[in-house]
Amino acid sequence: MSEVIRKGYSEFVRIPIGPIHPALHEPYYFFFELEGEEIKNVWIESGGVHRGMEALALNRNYLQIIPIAERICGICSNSHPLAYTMAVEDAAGIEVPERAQYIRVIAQELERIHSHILWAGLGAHAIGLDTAFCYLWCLREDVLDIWELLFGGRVTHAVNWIGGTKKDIKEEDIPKILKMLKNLRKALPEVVDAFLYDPTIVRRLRAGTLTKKDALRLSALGPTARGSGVKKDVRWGYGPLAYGDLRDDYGYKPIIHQDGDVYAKTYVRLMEIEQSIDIMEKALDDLPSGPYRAIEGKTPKVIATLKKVKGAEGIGRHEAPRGEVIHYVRMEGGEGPYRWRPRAPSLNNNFTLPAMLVGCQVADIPIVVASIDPCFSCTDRMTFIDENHRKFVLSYDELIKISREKTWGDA
Amino acid sequence: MAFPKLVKIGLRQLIQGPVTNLFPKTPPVPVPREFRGKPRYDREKCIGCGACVKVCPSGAVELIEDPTIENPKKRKKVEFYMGLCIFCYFCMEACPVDAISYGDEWLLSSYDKFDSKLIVRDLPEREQS
Repeated sequence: MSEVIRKGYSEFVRIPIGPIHPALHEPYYFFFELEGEEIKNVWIESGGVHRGMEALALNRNYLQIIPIAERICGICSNSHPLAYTMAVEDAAGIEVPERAQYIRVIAQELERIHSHILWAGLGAHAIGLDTAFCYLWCLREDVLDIWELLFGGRVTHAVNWIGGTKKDIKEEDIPKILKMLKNLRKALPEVVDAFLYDPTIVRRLRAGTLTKKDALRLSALGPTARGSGVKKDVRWGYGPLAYGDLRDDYGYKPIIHQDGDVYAKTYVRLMEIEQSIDIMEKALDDLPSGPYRAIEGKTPKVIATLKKVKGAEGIGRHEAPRGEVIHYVRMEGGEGPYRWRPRAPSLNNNFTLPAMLVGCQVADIPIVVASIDPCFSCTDRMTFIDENHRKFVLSYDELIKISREKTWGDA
Repeated sequence: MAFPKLVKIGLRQLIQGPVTNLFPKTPPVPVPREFRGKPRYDREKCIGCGACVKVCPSGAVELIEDPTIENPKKRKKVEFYMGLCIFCYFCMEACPVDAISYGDEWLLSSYDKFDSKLIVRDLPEREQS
């Protein structure tokens, strides 16, 4: 991209935005070429906010990584530790008790409700509809109160524990959760109707089309893919935790929309809130009794159990509100992992932005960028620097070359 | 036409008044039973095993020697630095004698990282006396 910028003369108007810009919540670099109001070309560049989380984690033990994973993303603060614990359990061969699986599902759906309401508010804010923004965030507050009641924290929930959950859901709290869900079900349709049928809002949302072909080519995830008609949902496809049981019992399906524009993504997210409310009610109804942790005892016992595992690798896959989260863990004995590698869904979704933005107008940029629910800080996992501490980018061919050299030597 | 719906919401909110709590003027909203605030640490129960020090992700717990205790074998105690604490309560999960429990104190802002209210040495009621 730097060659393009250095080229000098161009027939188009060129606007760089970022990495630090008042319109961006997080550091990211956009470079637009415009003809009048129409966007002709877009380049994006990540790497502005590398936090070195993996290196931080490798000096710590298996339990200490859970809070670090929780802080990868402020909004998916349950999905990342959940995927991490699933990866460790996969590697160590720990069977999670059924009650813990249901509690995890409840926590995860609670997060999805809060994240999608938050997104709908931000989307409304991006098109200048601050009434809906304030109203939706007011509804979200009730969800955060339930987080606080169940797990003791509003944003960092600390639900997950290796081999189960950190806390149990108490019987006396269940009516309060059901009451919150009932209120939410009553209050949401007003806003959902406005988003889906109001002519002014719908006209603003009809922008930034991602075709099904592009969604498959760029391997988009989560609501970004489902809005383009791709049936991709880890919950109902792969069926981790209790999702497999719930799917078989109640016949849940991924919610998809064929249009591929911002309206379709909005539709998918708003309908998923209702689906999540339904899943939570069913899961609370079916909540089995029994233990909620596979490894009984305090932290030294958990670490001692994991210390024995050698030469094992595990993968944790989970559907976060933004898309599929994958965590990879390699265990080679010792108190901490040999390698921990998280992949946030925004990494895939960010690269669908050029395909969506080309052909849009300048005023559509905020809502189109917001439509993938971007989380730029979550994606930055590594930066290549040369001996002069300058950043450089490796192409696909170069990566393959390095990989082959490592396998075969210089030959 | 659904536009009147949003107008309806707006008017309703106008009549209802603010939903938020005007905190410094009014008392804060009560926190739930198991809120993760400033931890309550019982120094007399503590046996100084150091399990909490080992599991703390942010290094907020420090193992110290208390010279006021006569028996030199029981001098090992811990201190919690709230300036570093991330409120994960893994120390509570680690404690074999349940010397750490949920605390509901959350008004912890201070200009000094080592302010006396940001260092937990004992139960608050015992510390005052």
